[in-house]
Amino acid sequence: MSAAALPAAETSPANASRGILLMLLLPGLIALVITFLLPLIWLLRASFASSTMGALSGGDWTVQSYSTVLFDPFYWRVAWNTLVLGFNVAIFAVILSYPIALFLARTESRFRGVLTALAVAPLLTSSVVRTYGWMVILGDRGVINSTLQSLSLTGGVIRLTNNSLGATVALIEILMPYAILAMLSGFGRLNTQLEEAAAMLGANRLRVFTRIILPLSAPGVLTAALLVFVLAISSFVTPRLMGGGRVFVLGTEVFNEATVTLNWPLAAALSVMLLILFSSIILLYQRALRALET
Amino acid sequence: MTTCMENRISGNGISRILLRAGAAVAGMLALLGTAQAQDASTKGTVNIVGFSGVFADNYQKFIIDPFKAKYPGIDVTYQQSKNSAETLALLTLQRADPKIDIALIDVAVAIKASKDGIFAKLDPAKVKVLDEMPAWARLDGDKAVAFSQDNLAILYNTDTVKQPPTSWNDLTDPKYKGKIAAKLGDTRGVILLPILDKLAGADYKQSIDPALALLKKIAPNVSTWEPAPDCYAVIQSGEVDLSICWNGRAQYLHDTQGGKIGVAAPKEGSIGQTNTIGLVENSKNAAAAQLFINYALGTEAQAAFAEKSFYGPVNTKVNLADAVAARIYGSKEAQAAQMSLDWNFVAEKYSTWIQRINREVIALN
Repeated sequence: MSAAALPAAETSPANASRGILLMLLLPGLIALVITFLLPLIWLLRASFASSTMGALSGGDWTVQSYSTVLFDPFYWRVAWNTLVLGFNVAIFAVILSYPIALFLARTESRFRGVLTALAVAPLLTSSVVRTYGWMVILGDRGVINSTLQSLSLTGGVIRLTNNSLGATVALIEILMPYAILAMLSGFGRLNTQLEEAAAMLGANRLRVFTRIILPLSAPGVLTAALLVFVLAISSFVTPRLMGGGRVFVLGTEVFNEATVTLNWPLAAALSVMLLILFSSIILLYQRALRALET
Repeated sequence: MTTCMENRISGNGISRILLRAGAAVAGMLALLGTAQAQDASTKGTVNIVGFSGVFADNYQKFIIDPFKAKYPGIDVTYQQSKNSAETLALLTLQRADPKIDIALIDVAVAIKASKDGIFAKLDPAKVKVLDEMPAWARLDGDKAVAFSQDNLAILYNTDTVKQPPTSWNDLTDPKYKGKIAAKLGDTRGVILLPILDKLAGADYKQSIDPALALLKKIAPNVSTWEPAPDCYAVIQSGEVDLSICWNGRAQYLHDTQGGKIGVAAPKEGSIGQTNTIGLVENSKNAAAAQLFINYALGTEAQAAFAEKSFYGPVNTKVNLADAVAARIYGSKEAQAAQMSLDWNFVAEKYSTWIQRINREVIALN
């Protein structure tokens, strides 16, 4: 076999396998196009429609909705609120979930499976139900307030809900199972032998944690933070119900424009803004992940 | 329906006689007027989309069922929709090939939909009852007609509030601090503004600034602007003392759930959330549908529905019993002060007003 023929002989099976690969991917791709890409294109189109509700009827193109959003300081404040809510929820959810995830990842208990299932069990109930649970706990006549009052620790009612505090607290708890799951799957590189080696070389437990465990678990932590952040800034039920109408975030505004004032193009433009926020955060995340890996 | 009727006939001799007599009278009337004969022979199906829950039950029982009894050739289906926005989405999607003939929809949404060509103009020759409707109820050139008004009222918990409020001004009373639920970022707010304007001696067509100033005095008392699950449950659970919400549902809950919820109809009068009925453009059953609209707007259907649902009727020929009127509009003083809005004007302002409530009152409180 000549040297020139060799690459050709190599590429043809490669081509065939690529063809098979494409064929195998096709059903998934079609499903993605129908369920994900088409609605997204429709959303984009709707955001450029002119009539306040004729987004479905086609018609002319205009950037009016975008100029409304971009030149109105109220929407900038809403976007800022959304980011702040997202960051707060992501940071606290990760801090609270980290020890749980670390324990679940390292434990050799025979109940490990049960414990993991317990940690993510809240996902089995709807977040609406859990939001109502938090309303019972944090309400003016809720568990915390009535306990404090019956112990005479406080004079009046402490406002724990119907504001952004309530929304943040409830979102943290509601999104913690996602953080735990993301961290568990990201903790694959943790290795007890490395920790033992460090300990043998004289590192104390804090040093082992900061020099070995934390760096190795960082990708998982970052993924968890990203997931929680994205879920938090796109959430709308919890901020709406726990915020008592006072928490204005992009999710609640999209809902309002779409269902109350029926300005669908504006709702679509706000959704696109939210998407842009998502994408920039995901880009940042990928940068950070690459930096961690090198 | 037919089986129910048959049971009644076989079970009760007197009603059988009455029914026969009724049928005989109806038969004679049919002979007298060819129009009626045509009506009775109209066949087809009328597909309605409208509000869900208790409204749907009442509408079926007190309007659709009697209509079907009167026009056996016409079948009526009722599809429930969560809210008017969803109904509008449905109608917009079906625009090329409508499966819905009649939509029951909130007035502000109806005007928007009508401007977008969703509804057809009603034919006054077919919907004769239009003559009995007041001018404000015939919207956008008879493309949607108001059929009921559910008053905005102050609801209170009968256990915790011993002296129910009598005036909208009572909402500013500091004793209710943190005790009021008020979902105002929708039609409720849009209706409350003209009421508060009137209290402040202003006119909503000129400016809503006085109303917003008054609302800002109520705001410190508001515990939640987003009562969950709704503005009635928070009263019943004792979470708040007062709630600004609709009369009809509250009256129903008062009767069915032990009177825990009370309705205070303020003496300055109120305005109703107005529901409209509209014929869908390009409806395939336009003749039968207009027959239905004519019936639904008629005095018989209007009075029955008002009595059972506590939604104020719109037809000017309807006379309500005093007791019913009191539960719909409140005291005689409140009845005299009852207002109606120029909805064509308000529909234009709808989103601006909500935006101002959201930004100038709710976001700052």
